Amino acid sequence: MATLSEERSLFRPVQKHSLDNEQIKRPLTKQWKMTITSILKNKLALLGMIILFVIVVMAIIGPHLVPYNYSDQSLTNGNIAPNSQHWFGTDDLGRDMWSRTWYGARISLTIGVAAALIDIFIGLVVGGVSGYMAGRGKIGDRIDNILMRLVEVLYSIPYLLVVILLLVIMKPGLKTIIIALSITGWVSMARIVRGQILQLKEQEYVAAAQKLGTPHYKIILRHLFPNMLGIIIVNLTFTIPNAIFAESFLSFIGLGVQAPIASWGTMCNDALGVILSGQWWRLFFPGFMISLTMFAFNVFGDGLQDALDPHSRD
Amino acid sequence: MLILKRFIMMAVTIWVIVTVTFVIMHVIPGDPFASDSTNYPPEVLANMRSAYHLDEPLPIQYVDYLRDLCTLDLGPSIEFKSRSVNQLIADGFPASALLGLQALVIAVFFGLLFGIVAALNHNGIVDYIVMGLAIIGISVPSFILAPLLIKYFSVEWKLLPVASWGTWRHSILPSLSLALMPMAIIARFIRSSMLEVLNQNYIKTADAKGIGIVSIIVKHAIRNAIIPVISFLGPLIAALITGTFVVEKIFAIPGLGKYFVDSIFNRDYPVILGTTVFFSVVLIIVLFVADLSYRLIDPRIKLSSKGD
Amino acid sequence: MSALLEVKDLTVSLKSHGGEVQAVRGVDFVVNEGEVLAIVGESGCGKSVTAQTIMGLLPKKLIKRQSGSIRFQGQELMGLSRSQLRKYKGAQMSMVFQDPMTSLNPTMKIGHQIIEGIVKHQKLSKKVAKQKAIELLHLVGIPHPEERYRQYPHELSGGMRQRVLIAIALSCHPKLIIADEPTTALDVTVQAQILDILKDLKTRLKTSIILITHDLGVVAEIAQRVIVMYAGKVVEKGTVEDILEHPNHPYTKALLSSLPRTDAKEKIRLKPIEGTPPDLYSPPKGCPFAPRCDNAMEICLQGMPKETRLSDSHISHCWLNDERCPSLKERLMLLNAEEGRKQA
Repeated sequence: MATLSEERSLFRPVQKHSLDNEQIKRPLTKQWKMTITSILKNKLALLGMIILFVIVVMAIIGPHLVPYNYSDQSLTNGNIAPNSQHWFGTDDLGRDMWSRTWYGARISLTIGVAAALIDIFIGLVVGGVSGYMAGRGKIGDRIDNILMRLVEVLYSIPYLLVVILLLVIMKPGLKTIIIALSITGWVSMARIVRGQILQLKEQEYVAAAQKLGTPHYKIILRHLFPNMLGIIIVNLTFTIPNAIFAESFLSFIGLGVQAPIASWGTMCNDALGVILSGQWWRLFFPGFMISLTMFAFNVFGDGLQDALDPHSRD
Repeated sequence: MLILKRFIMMAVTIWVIVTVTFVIMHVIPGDPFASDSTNYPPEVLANMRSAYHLDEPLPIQYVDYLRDLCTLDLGPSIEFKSRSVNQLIADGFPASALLGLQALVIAVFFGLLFGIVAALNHNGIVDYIVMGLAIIGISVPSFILAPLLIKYFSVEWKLLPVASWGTWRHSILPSLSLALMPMAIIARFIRSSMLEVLNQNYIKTADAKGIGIVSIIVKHAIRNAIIPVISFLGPLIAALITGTFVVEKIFAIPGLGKYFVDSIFNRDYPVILGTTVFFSVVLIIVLFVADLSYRLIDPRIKLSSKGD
Repeated sequence: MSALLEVKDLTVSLKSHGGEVQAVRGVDFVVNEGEVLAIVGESGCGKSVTAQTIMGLLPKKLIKRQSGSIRFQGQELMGLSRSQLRKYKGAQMSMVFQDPMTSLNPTMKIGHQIIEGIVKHQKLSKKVAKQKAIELLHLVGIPHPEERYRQYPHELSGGMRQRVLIAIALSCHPKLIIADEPTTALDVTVQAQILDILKDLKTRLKTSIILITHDLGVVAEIAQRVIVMYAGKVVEKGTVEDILEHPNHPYTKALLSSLPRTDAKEKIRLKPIEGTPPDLYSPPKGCPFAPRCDNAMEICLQGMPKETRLSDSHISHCWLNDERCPSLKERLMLLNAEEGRKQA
């Protein structure tokens, strides 16, 4: 039983400002931190990141771990299965597969990343200009229209066919493949960038900056660009494996880099003839590497996309 | 009308391809007949050149080329002297078409099935398994999958023929190799589309009517989820067509893809260019039809040019 | 009048990314035949979850805990399986949702969406159902119903879509319609029309309506009885007169004073309620409104107020009603004394 004084204290008024009337139990987090923690929590994406890291490291140091060069032939040692001396075996010309595989990694990755970066760059410029110019008077609209028509036409041209045509007439080689791959790949990036800019332009802070007389390039750099970074990076994680895939596909048709330079694709092509005779290591290692790399990029890209996409929040 | 606009676009694109192809053909350094110059006397070579229109000035060659194209004449092959490119295409196309169609049906049917099932089992075991397989599916290119399939199904287990063409058995492994990646892509796509649709308010409205879960899923969810996937069909078919190059090569299937790849190896330029034009036109028409069907199926999209 | 729907001690908690959300915490109320009950409260107070629990619309995966009793015409609904509930959903009780723009299937014709329920529950042929649907469209005031029958949702305005949704809800002559903020997404003139339709339903067809809203004006217009919810709990309930003329709970009073009134004789300052509702991840053990309440006392932080019966129809949950609570004058004196002590 409460005593009278206890009761009185129970019914004592409480100062309102001593109460926490805007309690929000869930802490607010900054956007980048949220993105990074989301990725780290996604075990698969993390796995992808680690795999990519390992592959890149091995591409650099791999060939140096064995005494063989990727192009040293040794006809007497042809087609040896993996053993303690040749960890990945040898091909029909006696070349060490371990060395070739990691050397091929350099080639395939370089082609993939270079083509993707060029694509993104061109896409950014074209899409950026187009998006920014849209709605800025007649000239601006005209520029936007022309660029967009161009993009539309290029978009419906079968990309791989054009690449094949180009490679047929140009001397096959590292540079030509990169150029050929970049020439039509930028189109989808341009569309995405333009869409993003059109959306961002509607935001009030851009209008405010313009009214204040901020020069164009500053607006682009400080306001538009950081917001597009997320989309650009996600796009990169999908464009690179596409480029690697395209390169190996083309190599498989015979339009890849020339021997003795090897990419994973050309190694697969070379291995085709001996599949049935049981020399599994010829196809397995380059094939596995291609698949693993694409898997890692896809999984990492998925994780990145989930992290940046507000839809995944409840 | 919007359809007219699209049609004109299509024609323009085809023209661009054709012209680009022509330009490329004449940028090729060297004489396509260089390898034959030792076999034939000069007069015969001159005759062959004029048969291929190679002795006329460029603009006239271009007009001839366009004219020939309009009459669907793609010219003779250089490598196979007795056959024209048209004949090669006619020979090879049926096999490729069959292969492509089979792969398309497998990819679409199973892709949709697995993707929808995964979406309905969101975050469950089935979802994880399907998505796991899908990720592998989009990472393993057909030319790596195919030898694997051959090794096990044909060589080790002797269930299916190794290569070449003929009976329906011959088409299983090639179709599977071709279909796996598109299947995985479709599955992932429809799964995310379904998940988005299932969150929409109209699904709740349908549920509140008490009409039963099958109706809700089929008539309300799938119906809406499948629309974005249709817009994706065009590029998918394009990928399938280019995929045939590799699969036909591995399985030694006498299709257009294989002829194309061979012609690249042989540098048989009329065939390369003619087949490229052929493929491009087919692809562009397919994209056009796919785009059209997408617009027809989604009632929200107006076909007229109002507010395109 | 007998009770059509009896909800006793309904408790629902949901799973979310941040943890368990206790959305509904022990809610009781009754809906009688032929009456309109309004559920009033801010966003997040649990009114929608309550409605969806009654209708069995919450996805099983989302529900962490569910307890209490929901009796419809004497039949216990809590615990029924999906297929058992299906007899009721759309037939005996139906629901109209908040946003008409997204509540209709965009790829299905309006008419088809209306007859779906009819065909399923009443087993009528499509032809007969179509007739009924056209009558329904007419009933909710849609002109040229035959034309509209064949149209798609995007061809209709927001107000018309909401009418279609009401038509769908009516299609099987339910005894109870739950309308979740049916006018919030619409503009004022359309709001009035929709409310008229609902009123008409009540008088003509004797349908009971649970009207969920945060708008007291709507309540005044159409409801007979009201329950006021806050942070998952019912804080006050009574007839419309009880609540609007003699509000007891500080939250109800605050809601009323934040409304503009056309009958004010002089200018009154609108008083918005400071602060935001508590997060329901770890709800406070005391009265949830205490942090924002002008009259909060020590005991308000300690535990939930008991139920006070102010009249036959009027119930409130507030410590201010406790007989031991000092009068306003005493409380002010105590407050001043506190202030004085602090300054010294």
